[in-house]
Amino acid sequence: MKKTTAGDVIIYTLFVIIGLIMLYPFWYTLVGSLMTYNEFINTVFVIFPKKITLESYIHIFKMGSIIEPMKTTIIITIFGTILSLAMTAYTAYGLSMQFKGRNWIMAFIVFTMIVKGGLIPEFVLYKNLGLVNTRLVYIIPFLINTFNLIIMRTSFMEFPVEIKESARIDGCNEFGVFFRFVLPLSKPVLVTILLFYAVQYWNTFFPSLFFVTDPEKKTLQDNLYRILANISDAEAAHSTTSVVFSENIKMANVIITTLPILVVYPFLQRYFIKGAMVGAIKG
Amino acid sequence: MKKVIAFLLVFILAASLTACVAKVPQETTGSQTAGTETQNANANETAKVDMSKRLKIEIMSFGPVTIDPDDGVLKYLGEKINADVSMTMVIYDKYTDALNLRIAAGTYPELFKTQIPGDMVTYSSLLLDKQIINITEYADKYGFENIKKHFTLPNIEAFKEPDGYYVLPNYTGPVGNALYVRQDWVEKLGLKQPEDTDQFKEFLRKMVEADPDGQKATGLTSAVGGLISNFSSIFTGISSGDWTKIDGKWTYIALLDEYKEMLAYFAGLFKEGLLDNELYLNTPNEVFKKMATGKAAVALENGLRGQMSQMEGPLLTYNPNAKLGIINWPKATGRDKVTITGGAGYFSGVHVPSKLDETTRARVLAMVDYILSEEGQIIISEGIEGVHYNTVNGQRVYVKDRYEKDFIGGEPHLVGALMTRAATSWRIETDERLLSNRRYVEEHAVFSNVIGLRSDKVTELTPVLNDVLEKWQMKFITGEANIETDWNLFVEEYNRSGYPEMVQEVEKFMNK
Repeated sequence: MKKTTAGDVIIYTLFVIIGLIMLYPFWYTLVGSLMTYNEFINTVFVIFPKKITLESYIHIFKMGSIIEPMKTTIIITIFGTILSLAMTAYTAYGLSMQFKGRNWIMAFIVFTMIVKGGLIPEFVLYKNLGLVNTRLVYIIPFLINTFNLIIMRTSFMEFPVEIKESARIDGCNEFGVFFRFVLPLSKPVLVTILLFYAVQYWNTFFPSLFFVTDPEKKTLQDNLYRILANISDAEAAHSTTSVVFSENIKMANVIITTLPILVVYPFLQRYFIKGAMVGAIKG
Repeated sequence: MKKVIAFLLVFILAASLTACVAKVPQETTGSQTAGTETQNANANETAKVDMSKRLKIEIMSFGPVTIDPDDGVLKYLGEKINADVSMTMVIYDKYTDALNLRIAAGTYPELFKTQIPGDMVTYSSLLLDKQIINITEYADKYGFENIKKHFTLPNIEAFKEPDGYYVLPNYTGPVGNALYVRQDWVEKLGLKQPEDTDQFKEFLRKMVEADPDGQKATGLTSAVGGLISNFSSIFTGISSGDWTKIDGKWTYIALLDEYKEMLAYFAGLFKEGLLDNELYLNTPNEVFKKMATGKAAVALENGLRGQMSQMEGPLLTYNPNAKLGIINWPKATGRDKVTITGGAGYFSGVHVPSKLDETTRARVLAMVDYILSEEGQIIISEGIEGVHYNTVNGQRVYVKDRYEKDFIGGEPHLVGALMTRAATSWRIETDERLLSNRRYVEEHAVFSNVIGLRSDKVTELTPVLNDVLEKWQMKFITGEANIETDWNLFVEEYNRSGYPEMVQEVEKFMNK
């Protein structure tokens, strides 16, 4: 066994300190959300609250404005992630096969990563498709993420041809090969892409801001942005509206908005690391 | 292959241009129709608003909250004008983007706000493209007396076009800041209300030297913008960021000798530790925190209930014997009166798009007219009997859930913020300290001479000149530059950055 040297101790101590510095803002937010506003403002360096209180959380749920955005975000995250994963896997598998024109199709797809239509054409298009002010506007336009598609396609291209061939010899058609062999053996990349999509849908903000006006269909991130942005200086200076959210209510909102997606990571971590490496070498 | 791609690109470009050209005339017809109809109307008789068909009316505004779908006030207003009224709220700093998107896509809300006089560009474009109706014409045609009365408010002419008002500006009155003070310190040290800036300096000095809470308190804390804005008016006698005529020539406030005196005053305070040395880092929350923990004697913040309660609540936790007060603004030493910045007196305004048909235009303005009426003002500031409260034995018993959802934070309903925010808010304020400050500010307010300055050149020059000014302000206040010896360097850089062109723009605008 390697002997622990003084250098190791210094390095580990340094890493622990850096780790604590990194974690502190999150801890500060969490603890701040569990304090009363009066205690929070009178505390300089927050480690533990004197008295844990859920009053900020109670206030948020009592206000009620978070309930509908939360429902919307949960719905689009579940359905969006499933649909996106399915669509990306189908497309990536198809594009991993050898056929004429494959590179042209791929070039068109990659082109969408570089050139965007712009906000106004996007809005007009969604409006004409009847997507504006519906929850579908959060899902349909974002079904396939090109970056995720490339990762998955690369992973499928690396899939051993021998396994596919033996499956075909055993009587499997292409669907059988895909569903019975390729997908089960590509769990790491699927889980990684699933996580990417889940985070993407959970963080839906711009479509909610620009394409949805119905408060019942707004997303959590939009709701959080409103609360954090609060009333602007210019607006406040010229008004008497004192809709001011206190800092610990803002913090409680941050926790409600980030915690659910954050707790998913540890469960998927072992797949995630493997999956993130897939496609890293060959493009 | 190259030829095919080139042909495709040319085809797409041509198709796009054709689509754009085809769209323009459609959007301008509404205004022309309205004009013709108004001319045909008899000047002595008012037309009747057609209320027969149920309409959908969307109001677009900005603010940090959303409107509950079962909002009682909107339902009530809807019943008044036979419409389903909804309100779309967009956060302030994304509002212009969201509005431009709706305008570009041609999906106008039936009533919407623009951020005048801060953003005159959007207003000018709407006006130029005839996208908004002349509200004056409709007020005359349908006899909307409350709208007509609104157009007689002070300084409102700044928003008038030659043929009437295309915007209904939201009258806010003067900018409502306050000088919050640790009243218990004032009483303990036997200090008096400072009358001028020299006395104010002494006032701060005595509290800093005594430091009653032992927290190494600073004298005056604030965010830098509010500090300059308020004191520039005290020293110069004109509204902050305004222009004044000197020897027949328009001159910007920052180049006045009195402005220089103000910077010298702040430099003195800064040097003596009477001005918060974190002035350039402060957020409102930092200011609240300092005031609530004995680290500052005076705080310059918005004179509103929300801001005051964020200081007072924690202050009483920190020290149950502490007291928060508000002192009157001092006059500049040597000046004969107190002058407090009033700004334009207006913040934002509402428009009705010309794309709407005649019935909808009239219906929307009928709703606006009702909101401006005495009854409408009571509804949006206090609620509706039977919906938001019930009267039991002569006492109001609030329907808590409904009232709290529609009147967030006990503030007037947000539909009232469209055009009469200040009036409706102040009528329900009960804190005597805030009310007294408000009365004092209104009494001593000076409003801007130049309101709604706009041109492409102004848009281009304003941020450049502001950057130069802010840079030198910081240098002068913190002592990095000497006001007496380096002032000319600042003036030279200001001139080099386009100040003479800005003067020309102001001359042009004011002579129009």
